[in-house]
Amino acid sequence: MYDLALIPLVKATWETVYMVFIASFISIVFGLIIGSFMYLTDKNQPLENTLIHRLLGLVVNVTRSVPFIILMISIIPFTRLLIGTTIGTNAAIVPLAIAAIPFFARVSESALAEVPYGLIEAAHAMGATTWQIMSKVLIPESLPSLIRGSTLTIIALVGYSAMAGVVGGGGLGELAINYGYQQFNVVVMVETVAVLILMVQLIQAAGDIFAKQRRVKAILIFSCVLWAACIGYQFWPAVPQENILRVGVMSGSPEKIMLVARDVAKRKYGIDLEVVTFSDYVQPNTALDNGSIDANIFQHGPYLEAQAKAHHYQLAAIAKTFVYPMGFYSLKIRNITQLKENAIVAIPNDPSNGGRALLILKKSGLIDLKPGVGTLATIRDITTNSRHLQFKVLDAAQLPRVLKDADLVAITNDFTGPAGLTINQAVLKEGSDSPYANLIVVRDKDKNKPVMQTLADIMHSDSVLQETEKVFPGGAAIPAWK
Amino acid sequence: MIQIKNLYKTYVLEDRVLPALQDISLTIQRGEIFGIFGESGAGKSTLLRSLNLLEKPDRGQILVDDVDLTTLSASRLKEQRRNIGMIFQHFNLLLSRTVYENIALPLELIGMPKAGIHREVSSLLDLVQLQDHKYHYPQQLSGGQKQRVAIARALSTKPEILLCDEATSALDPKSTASVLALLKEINSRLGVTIILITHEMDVIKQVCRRAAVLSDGKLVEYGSIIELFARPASEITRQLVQKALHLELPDAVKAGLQSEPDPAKSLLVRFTFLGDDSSQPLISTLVRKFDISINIIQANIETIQEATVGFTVCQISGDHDIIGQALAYIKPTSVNAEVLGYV
Repeated sequence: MYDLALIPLVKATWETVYMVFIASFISIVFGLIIGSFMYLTDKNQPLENTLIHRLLGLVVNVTRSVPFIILMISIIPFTRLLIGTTIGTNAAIVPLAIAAIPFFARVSESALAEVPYGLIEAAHAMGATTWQIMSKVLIPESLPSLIRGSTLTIIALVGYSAMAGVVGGGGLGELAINYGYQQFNVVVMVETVAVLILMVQLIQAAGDIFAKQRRVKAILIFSCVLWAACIGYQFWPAVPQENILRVGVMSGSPEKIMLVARDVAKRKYGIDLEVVTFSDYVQPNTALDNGSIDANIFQHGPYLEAQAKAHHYQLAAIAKTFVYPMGFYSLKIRNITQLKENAIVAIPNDPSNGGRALLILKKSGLIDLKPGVGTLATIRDITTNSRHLQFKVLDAAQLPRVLKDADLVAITNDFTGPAGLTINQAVLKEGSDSPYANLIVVRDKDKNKPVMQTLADIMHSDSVLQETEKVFPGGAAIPAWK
Repeated sequence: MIQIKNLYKTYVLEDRVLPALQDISLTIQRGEIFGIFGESGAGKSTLLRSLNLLEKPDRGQILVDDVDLTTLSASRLKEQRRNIGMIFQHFNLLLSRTVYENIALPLELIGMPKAGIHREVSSLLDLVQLQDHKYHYPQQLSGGQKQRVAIARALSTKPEILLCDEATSALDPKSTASVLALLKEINSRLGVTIILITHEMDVIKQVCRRAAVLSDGKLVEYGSIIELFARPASEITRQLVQKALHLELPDAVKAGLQSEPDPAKSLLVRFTFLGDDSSQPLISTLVRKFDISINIIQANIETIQEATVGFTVCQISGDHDIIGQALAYIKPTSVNAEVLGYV
């Protein structure tokens, strides 16, 4: 538990530097171009054009309004077009850059607008062209502001990059969230945050010095060195990777089990299994559908059905793995009969696990649901709530943390282990008839490939079974294929 | 030669229409220093900026050596602007560039090779006496030095015309004098036509041979400086001159002054003498020839360029008809008499 894990830390630090540097470089270049046009097309400026000025302003405002995580998901097709995949560090750079371009565009627009109009007038009087006014007057004169704005942008990107874990981008944020936050590993959380603080301090200090001393050459040399490092990192001859099966799982306990499966695959079948981790339930299917991974093991039938229907995925389940019964946990009551009126009940916010939690409550007689809503029930489908339970809908990973605040908390199995809970402690849990067995899901066209059958065999092997029972003790994982 | 013909310019501010220039026509000779004088808001800045089309006039023509700037294409206009240097009240130097680099800027814009730039900038640094400051940044210079840099920069492309926009208004009297001396030197040594606008009559008085007076966007009058000072044709110019030359009457006299003729009172008259005409013989002649007595209340002598202009305010008592005859008597002479009122 108190393993400092230096190698993952160094790797994650480099991934953050890599993502943030390239994304910053792109956003500063494009942001400056867009910002310059916004400035030049403004009233009384050389390229005055109200329509273009307003249009650019609108695009910038719209892009800036979209929350980063939504932006990241919604530009997936574009990312794929550009990078060829939607997961990994390179794929994370695209949304980072797109989020920061409009930010830096505004920064540079206002930096340019700070240049006294008299200087532009003087340049006009000298017979300068618009390009000369830009390159000889506006940019050199606003350089300190532009550098300070760049510092601001880079630091904002360090913050955004923490969310890159959602697309498997790696970096310090992913390390902190997936290994620190979700596995309750305080040491990892603290060390990653410490590195982030140090990084931000360094960027700010360097930015201040560069801005004060107008060190354009130093910035250029520094960028060139970083570019060389990034390109070197990207094209370093890697071990030739053929016969690789990329399997997506949730980070945390399922990842531990997959590492055992990886050994089995290598030892018994000679297959290289690459474990790709995710921290949300949407991305693994998107990545599978677009070919970034070959299989995923994280979902149950009702969820797959709902997702496939919503996104028109051509996916197929080839085998079952384990049933991870969902349980309701409480620090305040020991028995469900002790539940008070107006009690606060926290359930997951993803549609299928939310529905799953509601079905358990329905079965226990606490609430009743609209007839026929099935596994996709939401709190709006509750028809009877005789105990006036107050529902709070939260992110699945957040649920173990609200045990002290809520009376009853539905926690999926992915998060019970790290939170130090076992299914035996649940005051309410699914029965053995649960339809929620986890599935091995592949693309429909791959379902008859022999390697996929092998994957099922690997997952059903004794080693994997033992590891699973170790990670989820006390009947928290029940083999569903037997 | 610069000809301004029937120039009009109006500004539209929200829903108000402000006429800035109304039917201005002027001719400025090659090689002269021409002043445009007016109080703030008179339209002088707009007029000056029309000369290199920083302000686009609504109507009218700007002819520089018979080329109408208002009809030029954008690229031809940029070429023409290199023939018209400009300096500003607040210098408008680039803070990111040294003195040397500021002066070099217009030459960089026309793509002059480095060696050529070095030669030109060096000789300009000599002209404005800033060789020792060439590696300094504008923040390290005094106002007067900054304006010298701006002058060198404006002259780097060897323009025939130099526009000065309130070039000394932000300077202390000593720097003002040195900048004006420099402008005069440039005019006489390089033959650059200088057009300056100012709200300080003093500046006009020191360097301009001819000037125009603007008020409320209209050209009030224009001509030689001596004429403007000695014989202002319009009330506006007269007031401006009085203010500039501190020709205000003593308060005690001003208090008793009335404008309606009153036979019981005496006349207050200002005599303006041009050149070497001395006031003494005139007053003694009048006293001798006519039955009047003259009491000198105020007198001063101004040097405008090389000429001397004297102003004497006298109180004349006697029969008003005889005083009228006396004033008629001096009409043909070069002395200008102006009745200020009755005391």
